[in-house]
Amino acid sequence: MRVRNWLRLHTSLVYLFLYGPILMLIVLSFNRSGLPTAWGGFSLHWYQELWQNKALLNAALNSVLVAGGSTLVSAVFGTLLAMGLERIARNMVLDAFVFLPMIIPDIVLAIALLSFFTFLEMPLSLLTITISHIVFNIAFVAAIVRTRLSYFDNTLEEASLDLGAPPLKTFFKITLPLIFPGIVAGSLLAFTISLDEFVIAFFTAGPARPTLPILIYSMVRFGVTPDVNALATIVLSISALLILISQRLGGTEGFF
Amino acid sequence: MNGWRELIRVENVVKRFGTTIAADHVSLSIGEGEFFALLGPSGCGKTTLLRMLAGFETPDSGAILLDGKDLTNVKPWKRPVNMMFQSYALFPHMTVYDNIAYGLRQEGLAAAEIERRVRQVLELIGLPELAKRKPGNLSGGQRQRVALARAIVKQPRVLLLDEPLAALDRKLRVEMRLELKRLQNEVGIAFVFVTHDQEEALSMADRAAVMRSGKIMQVGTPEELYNTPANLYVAQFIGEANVFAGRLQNSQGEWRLVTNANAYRVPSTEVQRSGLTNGEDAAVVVRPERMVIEPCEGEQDSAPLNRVFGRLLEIAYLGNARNFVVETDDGQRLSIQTPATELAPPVCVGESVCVGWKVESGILVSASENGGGKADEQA
Ligand SMILES: Nc1ncnc2c1ncn2[C@@H]1O[C@H](COP(=O)(O)OP(=O)(O)OP(=O)(O)O)[C@@H](O)[C@H]1O
Ligand SMILES: [Mg+2]
Repeated sequence: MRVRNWLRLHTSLVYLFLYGPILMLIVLSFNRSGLPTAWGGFSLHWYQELWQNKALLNAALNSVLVAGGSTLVSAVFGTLLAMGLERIARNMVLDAFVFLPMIIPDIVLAIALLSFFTFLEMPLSLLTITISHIVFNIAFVAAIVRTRLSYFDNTLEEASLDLGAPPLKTFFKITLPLIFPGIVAGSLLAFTISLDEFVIAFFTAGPARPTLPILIYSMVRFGVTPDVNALATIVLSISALLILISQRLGGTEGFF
Repeated sequence: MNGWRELIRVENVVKRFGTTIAADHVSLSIGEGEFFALLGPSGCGKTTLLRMLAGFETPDSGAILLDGKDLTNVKPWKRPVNMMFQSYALFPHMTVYDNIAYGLRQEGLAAAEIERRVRQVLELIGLPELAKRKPGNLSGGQRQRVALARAIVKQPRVLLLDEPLAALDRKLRVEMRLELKRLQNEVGIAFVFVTHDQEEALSMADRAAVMRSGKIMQVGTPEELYNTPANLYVAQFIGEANVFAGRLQNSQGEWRLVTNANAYRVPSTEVQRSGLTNGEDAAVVVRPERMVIEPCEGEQDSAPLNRVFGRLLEIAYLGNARNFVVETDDGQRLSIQTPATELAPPVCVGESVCVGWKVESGILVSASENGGGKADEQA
C-alpha cells in the first residue's frame, strides 16, 4: 500500500516535470499581458500578432516545405528500402547501417552533411536542408514500414500472382494497401521530426530562408516576443495530432 | 478409369534446396477431371511439387507439361492453374465478393459477367449472404469455402489444394471431404490435393501418389495402394499393417516366408506381383481386419491359415469394430480387428491366444531398399 502511494506520487511528479513547462507555454500564449510573471486575462491577442509577423510565418512556411518535401521523398524511398531489406538482403550489418542515422548524434550528422555540401560546392538553401532531412527521415520510414512488413503474409502476394495479377499490379493492389498504414505512420513521424529539427537545419541552412526553429533561436537571443508562444502552441497541437494519428494506424487491416 | 485423358505430365522433375532434395526424379500423370492426392509425411516435398505446378518454384531439371505444352517458363499469373493456399491467403482488405472477383478482374471481363460468375460460385459454396463481409469476420470453415470459391471461379484446368482441410476441426474436416468431392464433381476441374492424412487421401482421391523424401513411392487408386502396396513403406503408410519380416524361400513349388521363429505360407500370385525371387529379404503384410483371433485350445488344423501364438494385451471396443492387441511369443505386437456385428471371440486379456490369417490375405512386399525399416514419420 505504502509503496503504491509513493509510486503514485512519483508518477504525478514526473508528469508535472514533463508537461509543466509545456502547459505553461500554452497558458502564456493566451495571456494578454505577454509577461511570464503576470496574468493579464485571457486573450487571443498574440495569435493576432502572430498573423502580422511575416518573418515568423515565412519561417513556418519554410519548415513545412522542408518537412513536407523530405517526408514525401522519404516515404517512397524508405518504403522501397524496407522492402529490399525485408525481402532481398536479410543482412544484420546492412540493417544496422540503415538505422544508424536515427541514432547518430545530430551534431555529427550536421557536420558531416555540411562538409559534404561544401565538397560538392552546393550553395546552402532550403534544398540542402531538405536533402539532409531525407537522410534521417528515410531511416524512420524504413524502420516503421519494416515492422509492418514483417507481419505481412507473403502468401497473399502469391495468391494474387496465382489469380492472374502480374507483380507490379500485385504490389499496388495487395502489398501497398496492406502496408500503407505503416507508410503513413512512418511519414507522420518523419514530418514531425523534420518540422522542429534544429541542429542539422542550422548547419545546412542558407542565409536567406531560415526554418522556424532557426528563426526562433535567433529571436530568443534578442528577446522572445510573446507571439512565439502562440506559434509554439500551434506547432505543438499539430505535432500532437500527427503523432496521435500515426499511432492510431497500427491496426492489422488494410488502409483502403 | 474410362475416358481417362492425360492433362498434366510431370517428367523426371528434380528440385533441390541446398542439400535437401525436395523432388527426386518425380514423374506423374494426372488426368482431366481427376481428383488426385499427393500423400506423404511432413517434409517429403508435397508442397514443393504443388508450388512447381503453380509456377512458384522452378524445377532444377525435368519438365511439367499441361495438355502436352511445356509450362516450365510460364509465369504463375499466366498459367491456367489456380491454387488454394493452406493458410487460405484471403486478402484481408477486401470483401468476400472482391476476393472472389479479384481473379476475374485480372482477365478483364465485363462487370456484369464478373458479377454473374461471383454470385454463381457464392451459391455453389452456399454462402451467398456473406458477399459483403471481410475475411476477418468469417469462421474457419467459411474462410475455407471462400478460398475455394476464389480459386474455382477462374475455371482453371487444374486446381491445386495444399492441405485444404488441415486447419479445420475434425468434425468439419470430415464434412468438408464430401463437400469438396461434390464440388469437384460439379465443376469438373482436376483437383490436385496435398495431404499427410492417409484417411483423407483414401476417402477422396480417384488416385493418389505416396511420397517419401522427394521420391514417388507408388501411384494408384486407393484400393491398389491398400491392397497391393509396392513396398513396405507404402504398406505401412496406408492403413494399419502387421508386418512379418523374413526371407522368401521356395521349397517344392510352395513359397514361404521364413522368419526367425516361424515360416508362413505366401500365395504364389503375390510372389509374381511383387517380382521377388527365392532368397530375397521380404515381408508379409497383413491388415488387422484380415486376421482372426481365437483361444489356443487343442489341435487346430484349419489348413489354409498361417498362425502365430501370443498373449492378448488389450481389447478395445470401437462401436463398429473390436480391436485386439496381441504380443507374440517373440515380442512383436499385432493388431487384429473384427467387426462388432460378429460375436466377440471367446478370448480374455492376459490369456494365450492364437492369431491367424488366410494365406491369400498376406501381402508380399520387398523389405529392402525403399521399403526397408519402419516408415519413419508415419502420420
Ligand atoms: N524455400 C525453401 N528453402 C529451403 N528449403 C525448402 C524450401 N521449401 C521447402 N524446403 C525443404 O524441402 C523439403 C520439402 O518441403 P515441402 O514443404 O515440400 O514438404 P511438405 O511435404 O509439404 O511438408 P508438410 O507436410 O510439412 O507441409 C523440406 O525438407 C523443406 O525443408
Ligand atoms: Mg506442405
